[in-house]
Amino acid sequence: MRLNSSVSGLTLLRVDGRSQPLKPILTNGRSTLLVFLRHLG
Amino acid sequence: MAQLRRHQTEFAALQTDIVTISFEAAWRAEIWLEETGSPFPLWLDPDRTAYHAFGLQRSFWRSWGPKNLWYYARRLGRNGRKPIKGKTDTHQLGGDFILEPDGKVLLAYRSHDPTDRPAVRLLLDALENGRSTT
Repeated sequence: MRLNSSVSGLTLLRVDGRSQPLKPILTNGRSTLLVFLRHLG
Repeated sequence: MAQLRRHQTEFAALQTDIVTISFEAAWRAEIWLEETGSPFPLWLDPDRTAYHAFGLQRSFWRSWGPKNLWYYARRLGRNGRKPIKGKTDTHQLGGDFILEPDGKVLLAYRSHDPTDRPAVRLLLDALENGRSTT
């Protein structure tokens, strides 16, 4: 299974509010474990 | 999260970065980071675009079953960490994905309920063996 190209174009936010595109970390030559957390309560 | 922290060096040895993603507001995320001391980057997905793009779900019934109520009761008793005040969506289920730089998905694990997370061994095996687990 391969990652949909639309997914790699997603942009998230850092806690300080800055934008964080997903693509750089997915193309840095290393594997990535993305952990989607449940609610933080 | 505690298990990932304990095995952090094994992931690093396998050339793997760990990134956590939350749909929560920044102020809640800041409190959570402060309380847990998580060593991993925390990125926010407030409109849940990424959450939905990865096919993750929400469920009232799977979030508030006996198993999860027991988990929360034990957690309160064990470490005393009180819930962060304020409104949140407790029905999101979460999940874990291992992605290769070439776009290959080594593992896609969509949690059945909020306490359902893949064992660290499963994650490490996927990295070591390149097995596809969905």
